[in-house]
Amino acid sequence: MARRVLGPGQKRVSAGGVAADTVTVLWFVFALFPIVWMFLLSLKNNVQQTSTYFGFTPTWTNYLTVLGSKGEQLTSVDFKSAVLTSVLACAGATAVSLVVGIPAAYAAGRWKYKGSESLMFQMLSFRFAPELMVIVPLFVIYHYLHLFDTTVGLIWVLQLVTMPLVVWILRSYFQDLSPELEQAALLDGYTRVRAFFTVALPLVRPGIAAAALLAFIFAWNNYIFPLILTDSNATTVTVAVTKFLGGGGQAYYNLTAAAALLGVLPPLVLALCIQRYLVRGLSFGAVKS
Amino acid sequence: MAPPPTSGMSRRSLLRGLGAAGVAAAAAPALAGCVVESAGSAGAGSGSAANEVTGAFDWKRAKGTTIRILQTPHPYQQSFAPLLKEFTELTGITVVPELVAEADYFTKLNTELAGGAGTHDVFMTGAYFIWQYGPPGWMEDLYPWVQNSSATSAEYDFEDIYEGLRTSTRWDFKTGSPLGFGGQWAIPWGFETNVVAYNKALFDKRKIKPAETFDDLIQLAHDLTDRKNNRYGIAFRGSKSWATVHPGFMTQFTREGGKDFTVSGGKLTAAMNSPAAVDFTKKWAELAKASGPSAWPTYDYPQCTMDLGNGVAAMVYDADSATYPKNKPGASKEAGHLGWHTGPAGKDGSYATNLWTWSLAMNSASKHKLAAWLFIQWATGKQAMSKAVKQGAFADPTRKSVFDGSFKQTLGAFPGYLETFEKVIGSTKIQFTPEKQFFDVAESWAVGLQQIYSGADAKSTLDKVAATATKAVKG
Repeated sequence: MARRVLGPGQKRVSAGGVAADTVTVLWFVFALFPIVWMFLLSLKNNVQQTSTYFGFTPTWTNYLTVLGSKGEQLTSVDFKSAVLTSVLACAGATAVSLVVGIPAAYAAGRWKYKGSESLMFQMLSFRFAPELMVIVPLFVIYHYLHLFDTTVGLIWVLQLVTMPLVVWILRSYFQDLSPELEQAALLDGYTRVRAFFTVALPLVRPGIAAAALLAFIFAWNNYIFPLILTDSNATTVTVAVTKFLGGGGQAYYNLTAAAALLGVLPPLVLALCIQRYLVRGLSFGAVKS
Repeated sequence: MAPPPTSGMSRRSLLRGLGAAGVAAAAAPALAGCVVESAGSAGAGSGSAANEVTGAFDWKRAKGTTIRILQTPHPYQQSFAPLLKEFTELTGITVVPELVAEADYFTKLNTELAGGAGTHDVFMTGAYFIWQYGPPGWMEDLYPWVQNSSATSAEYDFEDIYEGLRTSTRWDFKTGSPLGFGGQWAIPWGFETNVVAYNKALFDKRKIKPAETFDDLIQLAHDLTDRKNNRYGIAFRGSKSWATVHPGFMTQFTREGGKDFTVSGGKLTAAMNSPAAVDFTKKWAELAKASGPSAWPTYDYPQCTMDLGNGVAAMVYDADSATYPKNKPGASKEAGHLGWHTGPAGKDGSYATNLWTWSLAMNSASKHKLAAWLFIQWATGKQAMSKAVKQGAFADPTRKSVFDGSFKQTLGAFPGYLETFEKVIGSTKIQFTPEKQFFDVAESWAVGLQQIYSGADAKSTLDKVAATATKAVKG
């Protein structure tokens, strides 16, 4: 029996392909299930939050509570302000890290000098050290410098999170970039600074987008620094979400789920907006020789 | 939004704080275990700032001051939140509350106190935490404030607070000394006795009553366990935490004749491996296995009370204040169906009960001590507590007059709650021996309990726990 001729874009169905697709779908279900579960939980009332699985009467009340004055009464924090603070602090921290980190990554990628590797590893060590190790001295310094409970203070401390990430990611991009391109520009009479801005920088733009997004997400998810170094004035989303948990026999898992899902939205929207750059950026180093 | 705190730290105090911070950081990762000399003053006895307050008592004496209070979300805090404006009207003091989730509350508080910055003037604390935060001088001794009639209203009536509670927050920090002597490091604000809450509707339906002896409790829990229908007899805590041994376990342990330490000549020797203790602990672990939740080693009070509220657990041996909210209309599936009982008496008829009290303490590094004391005095006073209790979620008030007054009026549909409370309150106190390594000792005890649950020999396991505990308190 003759095999059917496939049209453009059509693929022959094989048992292996079906199995691979099935595994992929199952993996997606597994990976997304916690999000689905949180969403369902966020639609339940206080009684049904722990006594039902899928059969319940859905309500949007929890979202209204989180965003409204009732939520503020429960937590002593306006959740909307916490979201705004997180956006400002994380965007600010990412911006500072990019402004300082891109030249640092370029220098680290282009020049080797005595101690350059040690310097890079020292910077990476900020990511190794548990935050609790440095939190008490930071707390004292922040009080002395009047940075406690301020957005500026958050931007500063989040450099411990974002700066190593930006420098290490972008260094590999600059290393992968052929130095001949900049040398050609230098031969044409460009200064090193001009060659950096007009030749090297545009070529690593996807990498910058990827590093910026990752830095933003890591800053957004940070918990210990804002927990200890802020109060109600500069509370971030991660800290505000936990305030809905309740205590002393009164647990509000439904409110916590609603707050957590609302808190995920800004980085999710950002990731979707620059998804194109992100995919290019993350695969950038992989395809370079 | 709260105004940012002002910092009046000098270079010297910064350096002192950093020194303390360095030691505290070296003691990480268990920040909650840090005990370092603080930048703040101990504030005890003759050097107390309370002595500077003279003249007639006046609520308006600290008018215009702003104080910051550190709290964790709790029915006590929620009941008082609407009343804060009344305090401001009474005193002219502005209160800025800061809430921190219970799981991270003591991490934040520990950092705050170790840093010695005095950011928060007043904070919520449990009595056990005094044994750690008091010795380094992080807490203000409130006894001179209570005693000073210029700083304390004549109507305050400190003795109205239950004796077991007043003594639970008082200690001289000397190894081997009992509670009730030395500084008054916190004023009890709300508290809980550890008793049995049960599904009364289920008990009535099956025409059974709560158990009066521990052996009967074991049998009753066994009879009520029906794994096929997702029902089990009794829930109590089992996680790897100090908090596992302090509620139901320590209550029944004490009633059955167990002691954590024996004291001789100011020296402590662990006694959780005595024959009575081994016998009880073995039975407790077997009870958890036969009639407890299947995920018992992960259970804390929210899971226990959740199972009671959902009708999965027939009984819970834990804080009365944690089971109390589950009986409020609309709060759980079994709301309105719950009842309370003392739990089994000991062989000698003992109703010894362990307690937990959320208390209000003053940061010794506070720069607004008078205002802070006025707040503590107001919040633990008769009038404000009585109003807070009327909100319907404040269990249990620490004042006898408030319990007998407003609180009893809120207890109409809570069968057995009042009777249970009145039966155990005389024997309710902290049943642990105060010592500075409490959290390490209690956690290793909980680990031992988990090992016995998993099949380890009770005697040899508790021998190891006791040896570790004796060594820890010597250090």
